[in-house]
Amino acid sequence: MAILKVENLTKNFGGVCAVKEVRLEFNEGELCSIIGPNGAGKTTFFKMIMGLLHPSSGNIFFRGKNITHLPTHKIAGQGICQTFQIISIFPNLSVLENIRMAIQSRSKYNFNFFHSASRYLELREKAQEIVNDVHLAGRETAYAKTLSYGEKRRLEIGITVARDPILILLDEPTAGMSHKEILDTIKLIQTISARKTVIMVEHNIDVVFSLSARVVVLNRGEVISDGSPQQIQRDESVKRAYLGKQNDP
Amino acid sequence: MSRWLFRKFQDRHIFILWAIFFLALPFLVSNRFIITEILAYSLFGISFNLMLGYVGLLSFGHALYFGSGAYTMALLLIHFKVNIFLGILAGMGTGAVFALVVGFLSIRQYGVYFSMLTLGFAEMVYFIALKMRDITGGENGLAIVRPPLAIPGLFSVSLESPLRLYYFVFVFLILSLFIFRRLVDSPFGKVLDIIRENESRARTLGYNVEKFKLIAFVVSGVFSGLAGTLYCLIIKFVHCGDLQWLKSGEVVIMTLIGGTGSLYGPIVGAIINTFLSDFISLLWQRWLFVLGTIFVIFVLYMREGVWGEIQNLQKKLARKS
Repeated sequence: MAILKVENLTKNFGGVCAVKEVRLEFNEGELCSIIGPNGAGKTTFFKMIMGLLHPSSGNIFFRGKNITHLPTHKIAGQGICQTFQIISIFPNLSVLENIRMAIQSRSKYNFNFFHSASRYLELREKAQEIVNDVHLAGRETAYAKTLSYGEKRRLEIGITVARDPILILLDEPTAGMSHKEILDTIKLIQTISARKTVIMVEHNIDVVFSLSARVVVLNRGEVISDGSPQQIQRDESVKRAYLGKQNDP
Repeated sequence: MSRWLFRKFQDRHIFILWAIFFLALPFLVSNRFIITEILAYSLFGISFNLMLGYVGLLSFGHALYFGSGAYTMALLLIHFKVNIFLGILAGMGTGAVFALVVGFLSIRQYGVYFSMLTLGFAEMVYFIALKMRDITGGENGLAIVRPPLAIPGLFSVSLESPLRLYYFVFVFLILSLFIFRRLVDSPFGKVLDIIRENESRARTLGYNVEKFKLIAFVVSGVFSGLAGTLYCLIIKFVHCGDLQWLKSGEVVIMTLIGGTGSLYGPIVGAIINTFLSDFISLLWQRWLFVLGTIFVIFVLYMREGVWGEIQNLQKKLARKS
């Protein structure tokens, strides 16, 4: 069952076509990686799904509903959440507070003007569970800006998971990480992707191969290959995209 | 006594200390008129700072809500001899309506565009008010007779006594401060925090950022309107200058000097501003130069304002002990 369906999605920036008539379907429960050289349009693709960019043309359907022109917060409300290439968290809030706000977003308390937020213990408790799940136990009261890079990434994943989304978009989750951190992150992604659909943009081929059942390759805004990791490995057009054409005049 | 400096103060303690300070103030300072003015300006600054310090948006037209509150009270008093509480409610309502309209049209803009839009709308109303000289008195303004503190059928107490007037305004300031404390600590207030911290992330968490900003703007308008009605009652006069960009600029400067990081910073700013404008101006015509210099120094070297720096210092002392 296609949970996300993208039809002829196109994005032009002036004369540059970043995403060109992309047609893709993602099935429920899938963990799919999107790879491609820099400038292939991967992040632009994610931005359009999340509503951070308006497509020039085309449609996006999530669980059958057309979400193409919905504002970001409504798309989030449909059950999609994203982590970003450049870590996006609340730096001057504590770790616990970062996650608590993600949980509060799904609660009915957001327009409560008069009671202290700390009164709602169930939000704190759920937040604490997630802090533990992403291995940040002990750092609850630390300001997010004081966290190490790897810890910040885990916090961002924690914020995303706290939303209990149906579809998770991960934009280069292992960017800038050490080898050990990458292994830990792979394990974390495996845990969080149980019972969820995950689409991941990645450059690290080891990460792609250890996690994904399916790989989509983008180049210059177009899908040039779509299949299992092994199929992609053997695909000539993928090699050409990364290495450039060998026999051009 | 000095041990007090080293304690870790909670917000509750600070609130109580400020309440005690204002309760005692009439017995420390002989000029009751000026300190009552400080109360009204403090409230104006606190409401303005909800947008600047908490949401992160600089409104350059906040005099619109202040001045329209003042005018509402004045006009209702002059034409209908309205009860004081009704006048205050009406002033708050006017602030709300203007804030709703301006907010709805401006809230999608950012940075300097937002500031310019808010300024533009305020100036528009200022010029209309100036033109409607028959109603508003133009630059000459309108003088009012201060109504009694009364509930018809129950009691009526004159507010001509400066001390009584001071405590009347004090009650409104403290009640408003109490409401703001609750608001800022509430789930709604926490959303304003994250909007200021990282708006894009707030959106991707499903928060309708525009809605929250607009509600905050209206709350800010309501209490600025309240400050305006109280101000009108204090000086028994309102004129178009209360709607003008100079007044808007005044609250900006006052709040920045006092500190935008907490609810109490604008109070300090109001004290400094009123002190300078009402005392120093008697000694030196160019008192604005002093205000301007202080402003520049603070923006360059003490970003957190007077109150912010005091808090930082106190926290350092508390940590050392």
